[in-house]
Amino acid sequence: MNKILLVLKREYLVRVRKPSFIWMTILTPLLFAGLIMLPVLLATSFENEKKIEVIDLSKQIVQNLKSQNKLTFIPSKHDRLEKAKAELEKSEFYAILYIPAINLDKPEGITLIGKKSISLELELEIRGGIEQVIKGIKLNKTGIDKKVLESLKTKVDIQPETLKGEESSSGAAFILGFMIAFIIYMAVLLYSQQVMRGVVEEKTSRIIEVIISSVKPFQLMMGKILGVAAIGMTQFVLWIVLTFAIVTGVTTIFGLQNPSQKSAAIEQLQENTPEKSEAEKEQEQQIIQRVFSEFSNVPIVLIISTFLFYFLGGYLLYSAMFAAVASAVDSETDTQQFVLPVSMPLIIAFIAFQAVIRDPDGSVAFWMSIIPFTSPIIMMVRIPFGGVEAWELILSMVLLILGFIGTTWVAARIYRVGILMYGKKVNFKELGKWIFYKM
Amino acid sequence: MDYILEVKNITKSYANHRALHEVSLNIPRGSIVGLLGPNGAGKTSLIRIITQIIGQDSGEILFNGEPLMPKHIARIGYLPEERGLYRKMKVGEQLLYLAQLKGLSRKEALAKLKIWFEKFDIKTWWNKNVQDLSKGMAQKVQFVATVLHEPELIILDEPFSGFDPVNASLIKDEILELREKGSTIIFSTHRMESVEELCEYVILINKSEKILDGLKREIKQRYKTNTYTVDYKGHLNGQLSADYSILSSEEIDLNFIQASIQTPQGASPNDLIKELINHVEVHNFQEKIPSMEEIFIMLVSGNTI
Repeated sequence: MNKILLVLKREYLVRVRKPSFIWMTILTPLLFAGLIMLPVLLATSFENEKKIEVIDLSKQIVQNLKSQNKLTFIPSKHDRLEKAKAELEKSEFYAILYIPAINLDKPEGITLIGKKSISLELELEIRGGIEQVIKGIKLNKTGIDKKVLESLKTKVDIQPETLKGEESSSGAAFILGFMIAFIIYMAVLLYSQQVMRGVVEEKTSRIIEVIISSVKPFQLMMGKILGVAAIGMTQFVLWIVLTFAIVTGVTTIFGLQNPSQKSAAIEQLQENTPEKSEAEKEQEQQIIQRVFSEFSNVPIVLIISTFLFYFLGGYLLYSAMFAAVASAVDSETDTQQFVLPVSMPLIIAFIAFQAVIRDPDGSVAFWMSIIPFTSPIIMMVRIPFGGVEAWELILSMVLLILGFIGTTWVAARIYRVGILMYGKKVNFKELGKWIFYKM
Repeated sequence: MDYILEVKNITKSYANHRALHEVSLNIPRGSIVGLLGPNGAGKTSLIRIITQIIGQDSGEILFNGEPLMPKHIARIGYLPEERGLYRKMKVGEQLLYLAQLKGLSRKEALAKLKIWFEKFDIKTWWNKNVQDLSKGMAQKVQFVATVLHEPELIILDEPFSGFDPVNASLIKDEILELREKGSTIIFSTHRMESVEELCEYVILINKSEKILDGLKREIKQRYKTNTYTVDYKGHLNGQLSADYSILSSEEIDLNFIQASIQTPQGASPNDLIKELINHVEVHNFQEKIPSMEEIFIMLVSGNTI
């Protein structure tokens, strides 16, 4: 036990001091933070307020154009386009909107003249605004009471719930499920391949025989696997803390104090698409708001604790297998033929994600979340949906523990033969025989 | 005799071949033992069983009279033939790690390392990365790692391979010094000149079986062939009695001849001298003792010396 600790300590210290570890630890949170904040920043800080000078010869549009979303419409003091054009370059205006005396049924000749080229987004926004105004004017003419029209709109709200009365939360569940599945998939592969490289390194540098004259092969393998696990945990904690720090720091600087403001920004984005009716817009806003409020309903403690459990379990399971195949080869290039077959169940689980999301309590989802080789990903996809029974979770966890004890035992038996074997081309059949060798 | 290690009827088979068959041998305490044998004879398997890297199929090993157990690992030092170091680790740190794996505390290891670094004059290496060391430098580090925990039994597999003559003689002196301090040293090698020079005791393994062991001096006596090398002046042609046969002769200087003469069973050196002085003037007379290399080749290939 003491020797496992010594090995663990070395594996940890060597890796934690590597420049690549330090860079990964610093750069990844920047990337995460960037991904989180990019849409928000795009929607807010980078867009300047734009003033549009309006020459309205029809005399009925400009007063009804609503200024919104950093877009202000200001009636021009000129009534001729040429004059306004001549002054545009030096004026504070971003563009001139020229509306001739138009036929409301067939408006023609509306022009938008910008200092620079006009973006499609701006064009659509202004077009939508004018369309709304014309719609209002026409409505007035028909004599339909606006109140009657309003009363036609009915807001329907469906509250999804499970039998137990919990609020089911598929929107947030989808996002969480995908993120966690992806992180577990990447992390398990990343860290178990670190174990693999470590084992190959000991073989190619020929230190292996020196080491195993002092420690049992099993102790060496376990020490290495646990050392890399400790590295993984360190990296995760640093990532979470740093990402949080960066997001908090940047949002403070840019004046976005909380996530609700984030959602406000997203709402604004949605509003900008003028083709959508008011009702649609409202609906979208509600969905977005619900997703955000759902995040607060998600059982965070359960998710974090099961996430750590399934990451560790999955990692231990796969890293033992990677250690076993690494012990059998002489160089890192020879590991390639084994990497794909060994990581296949994990890849299948990741691909099955789609099916599981669609039916998180179906039989595919159930079995894959019970079988140890796929459960680390699939169970974590299911948990945010809230439909996992306690007995399923316990069964899956127990099987995962048994699974990694089993694979570690098998891996250790292959490993103790493999590390002393040089110059032999091996395949899975050969590895299978090694399990039964007596040493 | 006091044995540090008693190997009793060890048999070891792998999937498709037999590595050791009923091998028994004893290692006298405080001696330097040469473990000889052609490639594939089973030397490495035997060493790996003694160092508990692998287990035997049957048989027993006693270390200081008690059955070999994991706790004995700390009292054995092993320098394998296939040896290396972690390339991206500092020399000092790496030696500390290896010493701790052998059961030394960090403090003990530091104190002992300090002595060795001064002895080998390598203090400046402490913070060097192993990958920046030359092969010879790395081997010095490996040697220190092998003996740092002051093991009672030191097993060196081809210790001199890759050493330049200066370092080889440095290591040789260290081996002798360790023996003086009471360690027992087994070394496995193909290089017979180091066996002649260092070993008092020899074990020969061939085709999974021990075919010879004992004091080197006694073995040589056992395999001598009653042959003498004689330098003389004069002519011997046909003048010796028929019992003595001249195996070879050549003129080494003007009128000086060197001949190799075999005496009949039971004849003493004096009998030959008596015979010779009647005919020629003897300038040099030496009994031919077989070298370990000759004995090795004879036993392994089945030829006579």
